[in-house]
Amino acid sequence: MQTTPRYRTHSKVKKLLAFGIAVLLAAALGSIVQSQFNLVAIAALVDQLPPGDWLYTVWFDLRSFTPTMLVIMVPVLLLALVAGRLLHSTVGVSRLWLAMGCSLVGFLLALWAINNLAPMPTLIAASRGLVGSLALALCAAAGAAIYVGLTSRRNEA
Amino acid sequence: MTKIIIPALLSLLLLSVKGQALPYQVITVADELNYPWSLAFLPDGNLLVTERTGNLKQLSAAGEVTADVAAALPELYVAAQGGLLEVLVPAAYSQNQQILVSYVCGDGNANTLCLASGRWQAQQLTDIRQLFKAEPYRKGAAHYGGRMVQLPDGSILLTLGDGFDYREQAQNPANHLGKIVRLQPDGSVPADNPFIDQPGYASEIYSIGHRNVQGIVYDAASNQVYSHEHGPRGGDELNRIQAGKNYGWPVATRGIDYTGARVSPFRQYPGMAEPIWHWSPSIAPAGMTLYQGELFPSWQGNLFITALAGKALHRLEMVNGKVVSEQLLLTELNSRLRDVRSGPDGALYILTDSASGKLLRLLPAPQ
Repeated sequence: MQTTPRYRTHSKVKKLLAFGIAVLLAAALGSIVQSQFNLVAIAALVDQLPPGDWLYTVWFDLRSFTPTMLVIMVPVLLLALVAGRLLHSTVGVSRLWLAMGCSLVGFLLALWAINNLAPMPTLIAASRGLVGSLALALCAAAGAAIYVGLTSRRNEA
Repeated sequence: MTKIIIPALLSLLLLSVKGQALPYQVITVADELNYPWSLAFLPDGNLLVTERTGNLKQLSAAGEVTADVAAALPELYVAAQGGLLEVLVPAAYSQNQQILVSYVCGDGNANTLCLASGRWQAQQLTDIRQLFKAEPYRKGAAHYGGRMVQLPDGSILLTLGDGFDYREQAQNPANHLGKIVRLQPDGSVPADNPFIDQPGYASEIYSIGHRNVQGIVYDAASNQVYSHEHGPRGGDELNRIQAGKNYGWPVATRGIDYTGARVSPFRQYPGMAEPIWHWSPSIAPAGMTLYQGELFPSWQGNLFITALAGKALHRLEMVNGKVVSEQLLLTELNSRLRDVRSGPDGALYILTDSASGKLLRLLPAPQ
């Protein structure tokens, strides 16, 4: 099937939009997840942590921590989605699973690199343990899934 | 008309502020010090300076290096914020020539803060004995604390950090992370330490809930101990330290994480002591002295705090244990400042923080 230049431009804009949505949602999800790790740690140290304080902290982090997640998430998802696409054409595994797998591994590699380069031992407190690191990496995988879902042929119709 | 007069008045005001002479002069006593961390005065007027990279230097009052010793400290580990930290000349030095040094011991995977004593004699450090090792070991090379002060009863307060990745442990009374501990100069535990007989508490603990304490002084006039500690992004604190108290970290803090995330929802929490002064954004306080010299009469009783990130010497005027004003000095140097001490001559001595650090002497401006 031949595509017109107009269709190609439309498709690029759609992909760009899908990438923006995926990255934003992944970063926001990552922010919510890291808030839970911090709050659970604090809750273990105090008599009570009122629900209002809990929710306010999540809201605060969504505004204040999400930009940090975006800085990590944008290159991770970009590279992971490209890698997933290349692998898809060679190994023939589902595009969705490849994108999610590459994003998960990519995010873990990014955390490793950041923690080796940053002056502090661990930049994101939630990633001090394996469970927290995996939880954050799963947010990147969710972002990849959102992108694939938004750009699949069914949605391109 | 007002369009001309207001800018003119502002310019005059700026000129008068700029032209105002500084009330002090700064003299470089010594330079080429490799990440100097602390200084202490010997009774004969010489100074001891530690370099974080592991050397202990003796300087004459004129700044001449009269000894340069690679301290043979057991398990010394030099990396990032770790290495040779504080040197303290205890009151009994004249009798036994014994000094105390805090330093980081271990390796990259398992390290902690250690305290050792040694005999400083004939410009050599001998008879080195490890007196205390903070527990547990941690990974990474950040937040060790390491400052010391001697109390009138001879005991030593030694500050410790939370190890950065272990911040919740600052609330765990069973270990030394994020605590101030009190020891005798021989490393033994004083019998009147606040938690000495409490099960689940490390007997050395004097206070808990600290992040990274890098300045501590004792004020004999008011019988108070003051310490400051680094907050994360914001929330640097000046605290009045009392035995057995909890200073809140990481539950109660005015700072947030470097990533922008909240460390805790609480700025205050019942049962946790509040700071008497705090800095947001952070200045990274790294040394402190209580000025009692005679060269600057109007500064007597003031606290002086060196700031790394803030690149200034903070003068805090204290009245009845409260900070009533703050003044920034030495901003013209634009240097990270590591430590400050009151000299026996009444001058203030300051260490800058770099690979070619300097020892500066602050004197009143010539008349």
